[in-house]
Amino acid sequence: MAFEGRACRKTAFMIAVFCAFFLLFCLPVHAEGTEKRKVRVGYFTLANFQEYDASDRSYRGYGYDYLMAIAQYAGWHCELVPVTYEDGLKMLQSGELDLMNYVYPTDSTGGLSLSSLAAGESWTNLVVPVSNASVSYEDYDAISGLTVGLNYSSQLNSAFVDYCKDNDCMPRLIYYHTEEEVDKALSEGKITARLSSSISDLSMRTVAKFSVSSYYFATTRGNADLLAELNSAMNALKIDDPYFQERLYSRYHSQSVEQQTVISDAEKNYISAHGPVAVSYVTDWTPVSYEDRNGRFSGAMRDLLDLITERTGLAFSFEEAENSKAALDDFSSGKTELMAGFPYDFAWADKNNANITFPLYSVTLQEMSKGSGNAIAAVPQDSYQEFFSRELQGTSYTYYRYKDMASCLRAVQDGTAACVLADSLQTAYYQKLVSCRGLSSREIPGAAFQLAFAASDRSDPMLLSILNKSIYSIGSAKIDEIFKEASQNSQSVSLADQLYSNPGFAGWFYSLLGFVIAAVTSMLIYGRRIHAKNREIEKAAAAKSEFLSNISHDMRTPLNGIMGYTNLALKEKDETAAREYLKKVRISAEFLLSLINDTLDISKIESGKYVLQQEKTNASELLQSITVPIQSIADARGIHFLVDSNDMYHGEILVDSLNPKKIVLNLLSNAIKFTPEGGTVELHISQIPPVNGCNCRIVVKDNGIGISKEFQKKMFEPFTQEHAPQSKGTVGTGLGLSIVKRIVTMMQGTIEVQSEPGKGSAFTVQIPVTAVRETGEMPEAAPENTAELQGRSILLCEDNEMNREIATAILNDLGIRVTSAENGRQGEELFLSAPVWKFDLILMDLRMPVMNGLDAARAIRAAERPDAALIPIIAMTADAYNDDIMRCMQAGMNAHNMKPVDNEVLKRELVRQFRMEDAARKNSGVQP
Amino acid sequence: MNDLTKGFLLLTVLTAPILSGCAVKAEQPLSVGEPRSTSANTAEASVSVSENTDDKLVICTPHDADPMNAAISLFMSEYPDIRVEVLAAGTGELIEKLQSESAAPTADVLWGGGADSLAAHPDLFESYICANNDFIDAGFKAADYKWTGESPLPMVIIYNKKRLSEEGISAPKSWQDCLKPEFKGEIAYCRPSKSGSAYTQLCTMILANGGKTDGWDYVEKFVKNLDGHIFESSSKCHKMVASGDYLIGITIEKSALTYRDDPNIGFCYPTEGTSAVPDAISIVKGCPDEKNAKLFVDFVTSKECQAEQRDDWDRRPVRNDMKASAALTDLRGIKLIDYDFSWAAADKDEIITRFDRIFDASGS
Repeated sequence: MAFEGRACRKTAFMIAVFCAFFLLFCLPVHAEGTEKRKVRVGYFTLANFQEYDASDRSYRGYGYDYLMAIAQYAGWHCELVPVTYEDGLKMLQSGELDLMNYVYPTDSTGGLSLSSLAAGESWTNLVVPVSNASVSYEDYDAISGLTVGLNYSSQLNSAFVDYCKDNDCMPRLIYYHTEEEVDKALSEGKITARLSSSISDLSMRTVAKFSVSSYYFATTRGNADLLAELNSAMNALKIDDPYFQERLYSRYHSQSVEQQTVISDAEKNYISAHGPVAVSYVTDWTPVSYEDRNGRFSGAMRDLLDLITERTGLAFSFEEAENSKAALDDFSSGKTELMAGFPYDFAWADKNNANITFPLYSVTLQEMSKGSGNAIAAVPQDSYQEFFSRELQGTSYTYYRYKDMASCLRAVQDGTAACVLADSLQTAYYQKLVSCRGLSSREIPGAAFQLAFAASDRSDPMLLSILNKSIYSIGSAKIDEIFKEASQNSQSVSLADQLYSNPGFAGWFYSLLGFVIAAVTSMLIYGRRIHAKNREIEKAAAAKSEFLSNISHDMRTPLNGIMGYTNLALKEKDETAAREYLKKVRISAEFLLSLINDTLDISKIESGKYVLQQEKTNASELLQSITVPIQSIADARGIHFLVDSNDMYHGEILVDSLNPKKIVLNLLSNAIKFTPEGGTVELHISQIPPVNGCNCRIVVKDNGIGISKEFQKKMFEPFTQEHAPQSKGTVGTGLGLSIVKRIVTMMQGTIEVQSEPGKGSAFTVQIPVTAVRETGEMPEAAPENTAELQGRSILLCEDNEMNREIATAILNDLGIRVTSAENGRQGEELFLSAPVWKFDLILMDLRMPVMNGLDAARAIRAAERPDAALIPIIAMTADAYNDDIMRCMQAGMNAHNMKPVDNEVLKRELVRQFRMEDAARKNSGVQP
Repeated sequence: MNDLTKGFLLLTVLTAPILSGCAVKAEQPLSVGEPRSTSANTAEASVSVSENTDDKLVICTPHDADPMNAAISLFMSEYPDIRVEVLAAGTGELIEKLQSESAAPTADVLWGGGADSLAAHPDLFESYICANNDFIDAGFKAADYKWTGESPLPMVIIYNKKRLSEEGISAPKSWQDCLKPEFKGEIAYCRPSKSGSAYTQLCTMILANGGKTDGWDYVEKFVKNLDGHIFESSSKCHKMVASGDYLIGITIEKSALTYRDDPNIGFCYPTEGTSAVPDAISIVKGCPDEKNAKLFVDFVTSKECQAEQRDDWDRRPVRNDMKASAALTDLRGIKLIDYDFSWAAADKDEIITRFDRIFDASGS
């Protein structure tokens, strides 16, 4: 024992020493081994191939996924370096990058080594707009009738001309100088097709493919280690998963999108000459095919055939068969031409003299049983016996055949058979039935097949072609949806089945029953309370409907004014009178605008989209911008308007300037609205402690009709207005005070009211504003006149003709020359083709066809010319949420001007931008 | 092997801007890539887009795609305001089109096609003395200026050196050599009614072997040596020799030159003389834009275009002030017959019928 103990200790010691040694020497080695090699990969963005989403900094695409898979095999850490394709090649040659994908042998001359395996294949497409249903794929006669736009410098042209000659087609070719011109010609209908290396544009459809070539990963020549690792990883991936690239391809380019079915002239002739195609269907194959209670053919197959009729005009007549054997007999005898539901299996099709369509839906074979013991299987007599037995080879079922599925299920329920064999669509359906209570389903491993249509091999091949085109164009997503819907909506049935098939529904049903009983009881007991509650709900609903009615009325009122006065102005021959009408139109329009703004404000606040924007503002100017318009209204209504701002800080403050203005304007306009002629409205603005914080107190006081105590409790709720006799004749949305209250709250301020009916009201608002230290800089002066706008040149990008006309007139009045573009692309082109500094500023609408304003702004900023970076771009748009403003700024715009255009605001912004631009040009050495 | 059977070309440019605050000079976009199709001329993106749609030129052409696109590209660079439209097809098909719309032509020029094909339809074309007339010899332009040559195309005999060597046969040097028994059933030739170039070759053989009357004796012997073998497409002639299926073939120099790097293929200019009927250009009578059509004829015969076509595509210049590329025998070193365009054009139907009759008789 002692010896044994020593031996053990010695052994333990040896192990300990070995472990220590191992740890000492091996661990670092191991640590080194796990450290990933850093590989700098040139990453250019291409739709569906290598994409980058800046919003969440995510990558995707065929090329990206493939790279990552290889990196996993090679043990690399990839650093993705954003590059253009051309720069990437140069950087790869110089060794600044280690790797790049999508390199063609022709591009790799000098300094690059290519992977031994191709990373993918590319081709060129002849594409037509999806709306063009006159050309089907590789229909050379139809292709001859196309007018194809080509970029005159494109390397694809020769291959396309060769393709046409090889296939004896003669489309008209029109050569353009740029891809943009080709796009434009297509959008204007001057050409009907173009070449595209893109397959991601869902608005286009490919009608021919040519010029197939492979592309590769490339490394810097001489980087043998990396190339070896790359080749090894690509090979290993290929061996482990030979279909990896195909699956990736499907992921990013699968044809799951519904398209128009394009039928050739010959097929159209076939359809019109051929009467309805006789279709065999099985009545006992729910939900694939069955008869509904009215004896009408139903199920997924019927839905699909109806859709094919709708898309192609091909009509069908239907022949029922009680089982698939009977259906096949009809089909074989020539009584029918088509089988609705047929295994997608060429051997089976050949055996039954059938041609099969593209597959429609995948199903598995399943057994439904009560549990164990599945040797004796019930199958309906009609099942594709041979087909099933081939699929089930290797299993040890003994088959009992029954008349139909119902008999099979009964046999399983009464123990005659252990299980019933059916496809997964059937089992999903039957398991919902009470009659199948206690049965569970299990997939039979390896037994799966796809469903298709089968056409008789005696039929014209045109029939198969039409069906296949339809299936392809309907798309897998829609077909899946049809099968799923059929499974859910098939002739299920009794309430008992519903309750059984859906335990959630059953629970809900019983709960509802209980609830109804309880509710009835409660109503009896608590009738009064419920009555009271109902009244409250009714009142709330009434308030809302009143609001809707109010706002509807309020919008119609100014609209009525706009339309009425416009008609009068149009008829009026006297110019002075017409101008008077137009002034009234303007008043009505301004009211409508304020109404829309109020409604939008409350909507924005409610949805949390209203964001405060702190900016440097001159307090005096802010006050003036409030009191000037109010003074004119007060004057017009014969109301004394007093302003006391002696205790106000008159310098620069940091505040969201729009909101204090909105608060005060709302309170003052309310005060004026509810103060009779001869009354007084006062505005007191003062600075209150803490002085550093520059807190501001605003008091709006009037001696008008006042507010009842009762209404004071709910005056800040939206949609409410007090209907006091004295307020008769005033209009409003009932939103003003709600907006005020919410803005004040957002600004972390307070609002209080003191009011007495008949005596008047006083609203006191306190909001925090921050004083800005004087820096000695001159505050930006508002333009007093338009002198500095004279002679300027503006590029106006606006797609709406009316808006363009209005903006041009406004700008021309200011002495500004205007060049118009109808979309972003045209704007970009005009800018790029104009001499440098021809334009002093760009006004850019956002929502435009061909190219939107944001893309146009980005394109202009990216241009390599001196004025591209400096020219001010102002968004002029109806998109006025903060998100929209932010997007404009991010696209490189300088300012955002909301539609409808306020002349004064626009004028001020133009002066501001021109001043900044002049200064910038001066600094960069360009004479403004 | 990569068995990614479905291909992949992507590639609309995806602009993925990285937004960096509100600065006007934001970071450059993440990247832009257009690797295959249009990267060559991104600078052209800034070319004026002003497009006068009325100022256009419609070209009908049977030319090969590469030289055609190259010349059009060059023309568009020089005349950016002219919109170019092209109908590319075989000469016969294009002439049919011009005939069908002769009352109201939509095309301006027929560019390419053998001069004899154009000469056969004088009613379709306008006379025009091009700006480069002084540099084009009389044999390469129509006497009435209804067509102007742009690239002479000598007819040659192509042969498979490997097979000749294996079978111990000497390479042919002349038209007469084609009659040798060792070439019986080994001559690749296209039916003249099916191909403009085969028709020119027939006329050349007649003229080089006794003339318009006696030359038919040669034709009869030649047809006999075809031994019933004839193709319906002229491109088969050189391809079947290159593949070794035939020992010799009658073809145009341009096609024979495509095998210049193949040591097994050779060709000769027959010693009795051959023709060098040029590819020609004609202005369509009553065309919509005669001004641009004339401009294009001048351009095609200009030194600049001729040099591009020679340097990039090995086409012989028609101009007498330019040499052919180094790979080609200079035209002055080739014995040329006096090809009679008027006869070839006027008697075309008769000549073809006679050939067919001889061929049919030989086969029966």
